[in-house]
Amino acid sequence: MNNTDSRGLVERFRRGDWTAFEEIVAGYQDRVFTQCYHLTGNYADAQDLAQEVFVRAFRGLASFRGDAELGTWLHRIAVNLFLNWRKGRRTAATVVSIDETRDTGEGVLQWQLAGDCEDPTEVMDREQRRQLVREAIARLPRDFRAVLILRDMEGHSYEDIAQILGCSLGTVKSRLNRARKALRDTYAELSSQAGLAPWE
Amino acid sequence: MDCRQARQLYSLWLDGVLPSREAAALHSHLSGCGACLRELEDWETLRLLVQELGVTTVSAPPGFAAAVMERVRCLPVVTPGGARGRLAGVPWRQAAAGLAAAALLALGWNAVTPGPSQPPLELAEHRAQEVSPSKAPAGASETEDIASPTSPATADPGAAGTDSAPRTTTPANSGTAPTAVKVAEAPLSPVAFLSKERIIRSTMLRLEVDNLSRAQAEAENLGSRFGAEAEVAVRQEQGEQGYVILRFVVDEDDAATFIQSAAGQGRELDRQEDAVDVTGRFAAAVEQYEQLVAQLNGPLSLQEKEGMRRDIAALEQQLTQWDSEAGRHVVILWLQRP
Repeated sequence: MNNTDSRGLVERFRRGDWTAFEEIVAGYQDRVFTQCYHLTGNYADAQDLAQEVFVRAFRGLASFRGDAELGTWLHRIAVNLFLNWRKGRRTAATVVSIDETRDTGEGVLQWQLAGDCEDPTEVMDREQRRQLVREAIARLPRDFRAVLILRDMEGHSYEDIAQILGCSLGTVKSRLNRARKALRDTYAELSSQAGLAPWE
Repeated sequence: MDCRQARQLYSLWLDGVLPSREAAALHSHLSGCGACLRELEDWETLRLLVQELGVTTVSAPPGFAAAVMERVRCLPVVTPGGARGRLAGVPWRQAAAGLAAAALLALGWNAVTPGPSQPPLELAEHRAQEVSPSKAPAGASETEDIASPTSPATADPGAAGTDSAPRTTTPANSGTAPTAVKVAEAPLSPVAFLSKERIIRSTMLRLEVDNLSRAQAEAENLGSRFGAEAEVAVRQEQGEQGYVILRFVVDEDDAATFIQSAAGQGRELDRQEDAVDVTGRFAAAVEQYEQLVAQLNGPLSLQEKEGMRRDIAALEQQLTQWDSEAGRHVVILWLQRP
């Protein structure tokens, strides 16, 4: 959904047409769901978080100023909700085996496809490392997790991240640095526990 | 440049945004330090692995949109046109107030004080506005959120080597218009905090009272007798749903007596106790705070410095609050009309 379409929908919603919100949900649900999956690390929590994102959006849409693209605004809601996520929610990553089929029955996970010419053992090794990274990310404090995901998974600029998190550029820089260090240390520990040399 | 200083620049290096002077200094250090070079390579390896994870896309499950619409249909109907409908089920304001109260117990003001870019909270029907811990929101409508920070503690007298630059801090609740922390032009030195265990114990007590204003006044008097100033977190008095949430910090030895006295003001509906160990969070926040202060004294644009000063002030306030409340008892008193 492009910016013009979303602006039109917001205007319709403001005029009392609630079906416009239904269209917004339909248009952004996959994007929001993916972001929530990255943040929470598991499908069930992603479902809860994504639903909450749209409920919050519904409450705030009438006063949405349009200074950010609607997708970015929804993303901001998702990250801030995640950072204040209620205790007791599962936040650990569900490590998904490479042997699972892509269709989980609840949704479709699209894995990065291996190239035709790649050695299967290399593919296995890389997937194993990805799983360890997922687990390491899931063990990080939420503010570290959020900034890592925003920067390295979703490719946002430092300025965008500052806007999404509502903090200064300096905070983004220092937090990202500390997050990457924490990730490195955690990943090394998990690799060691798994009997893997972490950096080969 | 030592290894610790070098490590603080890794991220900027990896993202290609390190200024050339620091890049040259880092490059020089890496040329002579194999350990740092290997660590930086590890960081790069992980960065690429995390990037690969981002390729994963997930479709929302079938029925997701319908489930969202079902939820929003149960929300209070405050349409853009202004029409209001009856709340369905448990009044969401109460649920939202409960959420805020629970957040206030463990995390202090920062959990519910919206920042400049955050969407509106459930509690507030007013528009999202910039609310710093030291400023009351402008234009609050029927729901009034007043974040009144506790008086900031001064630097720990046991800390050595604190060479604080002259700063002026407007005391909380001074009765004057609150201002942001002013920072002198001289290089800023961080406030020193002792490294120790910090556990914040709390009790949330929800009471039904006939007269909100009278109950609030009585609670405030009670607080005064225990040397605890009441801080009004939320006040919602219009319409059918009326409640006010007050926050007190009392000495642990006085907590049981205070809570028992407060409970006598109305019919008890709910009571929750909690103990939150903020030691780890405190340490992480101190590290971030010190890092920001160090960066503030470096070559930055005016805009960056301004933003950084706000973050430093907010962090300092949070740290001071945690420091003063650890070992004491936070009481959240939630008074509501029948």
